Amino acid sequence: MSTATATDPTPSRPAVAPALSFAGVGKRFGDDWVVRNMELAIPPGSITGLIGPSGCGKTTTIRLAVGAYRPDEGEVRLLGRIAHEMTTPERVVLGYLPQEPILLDELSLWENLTFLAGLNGVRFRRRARLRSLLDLVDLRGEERKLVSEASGGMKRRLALAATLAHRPPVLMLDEPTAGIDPVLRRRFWERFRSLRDEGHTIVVATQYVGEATDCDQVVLLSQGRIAAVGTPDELRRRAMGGDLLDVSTTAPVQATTLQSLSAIGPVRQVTMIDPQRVRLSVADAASTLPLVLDCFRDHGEEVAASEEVSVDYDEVFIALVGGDRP
Amino acid sequence: MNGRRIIAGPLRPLIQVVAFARKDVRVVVRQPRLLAVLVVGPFLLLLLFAAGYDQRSTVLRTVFVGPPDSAYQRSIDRIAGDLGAYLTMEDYTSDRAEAEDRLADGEIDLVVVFPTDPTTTVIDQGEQAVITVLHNKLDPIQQTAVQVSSQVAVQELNAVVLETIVADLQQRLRASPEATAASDVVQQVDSERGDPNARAIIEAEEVATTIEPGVVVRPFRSDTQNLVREPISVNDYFAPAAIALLLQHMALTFSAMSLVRERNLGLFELFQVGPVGPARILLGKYIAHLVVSGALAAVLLATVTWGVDLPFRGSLWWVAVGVIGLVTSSVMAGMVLSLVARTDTQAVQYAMLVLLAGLFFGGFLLDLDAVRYPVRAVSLVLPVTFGTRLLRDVLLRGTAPVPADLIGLAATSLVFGAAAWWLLARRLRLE
Repeated sequence: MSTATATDPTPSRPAVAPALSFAGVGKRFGDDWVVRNMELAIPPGSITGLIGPSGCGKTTTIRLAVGAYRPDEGEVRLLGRIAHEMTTPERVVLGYLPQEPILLDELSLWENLTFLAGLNGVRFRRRARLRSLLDLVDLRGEERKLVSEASGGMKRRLALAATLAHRPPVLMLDEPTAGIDPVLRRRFWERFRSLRDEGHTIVVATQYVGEATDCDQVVLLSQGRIAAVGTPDELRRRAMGGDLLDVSTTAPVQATTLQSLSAIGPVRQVTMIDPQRVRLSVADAASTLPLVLDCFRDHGEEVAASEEVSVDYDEVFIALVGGDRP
Repeated sequence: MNGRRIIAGPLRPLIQVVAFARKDVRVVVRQPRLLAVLVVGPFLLLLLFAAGYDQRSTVLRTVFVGPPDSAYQRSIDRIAGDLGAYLTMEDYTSDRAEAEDRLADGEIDLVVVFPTDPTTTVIDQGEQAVITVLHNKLDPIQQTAVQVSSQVAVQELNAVVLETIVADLQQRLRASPEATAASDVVQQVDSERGDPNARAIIEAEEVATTIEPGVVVRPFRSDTQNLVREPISVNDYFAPAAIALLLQHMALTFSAMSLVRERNLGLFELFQVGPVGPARILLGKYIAHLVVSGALAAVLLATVTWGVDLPFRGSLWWVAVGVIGLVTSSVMAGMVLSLVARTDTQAVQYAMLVLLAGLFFGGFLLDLDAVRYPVRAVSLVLPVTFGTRLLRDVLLRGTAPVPADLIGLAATSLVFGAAAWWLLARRLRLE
């Protein structure tokens, strides 16, 4: 296994005790280390995204977090307790959505939901709550359908509803939005944010790199190691060397102007995209933009447009972990 | 967060158990084909067998071979009448070859060949005359039946011959002038002297001439009395065993498939990290299978009681206790199998092995006393062994079950339950 090369994976240090923490955690199957040297602290009341390609160790990390796996190295703590030593009653604090929906084919969607809710001790008379969850996952009206007749997306949505049924303080969701259409995916993330606002701690493993922007904290995984940790903006800056500014002019940009732009303190890099368009990598877009515009004006160049560039998170991911791929 | 408000604190175990029970009942009921294959099919086969089974088939169809117009032919009707429980006389013939052909063709079961001149053999040569009995049976049990029938028939024939001789002797004694004269002398001595020896001689003479020849030849007869007052047919005898075997098979198979299926489905992953332990899982499943099997037992018992007139002489309460014990033990045994098996198919194969064991070692086909230890110990781990005896006692004898059967069901339930709990806890232990 190669070592992550991208950035310093120093985790954010929350002021309060973390809801979930990994301290030097490693897990192996046979001779293969699937997770190695994991140091991570997830603050309570936050959304943390575990992002990485297939096989990077997301599911193993989630299973370590829920206590399904015992680490071979280090220690995982969930709400202060060692995760794999939590007693059966203590596990009620946890909501776990496995990667594959686990449902019984012979039962209807509603019967599966009530069974899984009952498994977590949800009272039988909470029908209104369960119905609202069906609304959330857009399955209202489909309750009587047998799981054997439901599509893969419906099963995944139902499994998510079942995970949320007992309102656990900590939610571990392994790819909850896989196979879900973009509109519903957006609704899921709105729900995750509202749960976060209520104080729930949510860990979401996802292959959709773009979903990183919905998280409070992003953990980029590569080959079982943490490649980078931070807020979405922090990671973007780290990947791109700062913020990006695009400036378009009414005439081709002169070489002297480019030299002057490079000399501005916060400007780290100047790139010509085309003769009348320049991209600047800057430390902070808001404070640097007036300096850049002044520079163009000083050289008698008329600026047609200027904007901060929002980089696709795929590019961020590639920049941070791309070189780490085998 | 207001998560805990929707979770029932003290009631959580109850809610979890009921969730499992409801789920498992639904899963079983939603598999009608499996239910039919496991229960209705075997039950209908047993019913069909019971309807078609002819107990009279054990009575052997017999052709007697002997000289024409002989004493055999004259007394054969009486002999056949006396042996009606063992054989029926199909014909009397002097053609042995023809009788053997009929035997070979399967038209008859037995050919009895009388000796042509028994007097010469017995009186002149001082040897027993031989009655040859021919049969064509493969089945060792039927071979034994033929042997017994032959022995009884020959004994009966000997008795008839002796009876004839005794009757003849009595008649000759009564008609003999010498005997009459001797009797007169003895009576005179008795009346004159009151000699006790003379009195004894007179009494002996009276007995010898007046006693029934049949009594002389067969001084004893048997009077068999069954403590079970009501008659019990073969179908009656096997019906409780069939019900017990079906219940064990169904409860065991469904419970065996239930857990192994959930493991393959991935539900164990949720059990591992969820707030539910092995005891609640097993209890929920047990309740579900008890409900389903209890309902099925009621249907089976009602069907055989009113449908084929199975005697129901004991208490319904004891039947309920027996069914609960049998189902409990079977469900727990099924759980153990499901935790040992890796796939559905393997679980069903194990269940079929237990069914076979139940047939041979559960008292269904064979009396358990015919099985030697240590092999017989197999019967002690089968719920059907105790269930069969218990249902026979209650339904057929009308008595309470013997404590050994109740203890057997309780013990197997506890042992299998503990084993299932241990295996499930081990399975749910973290990787």
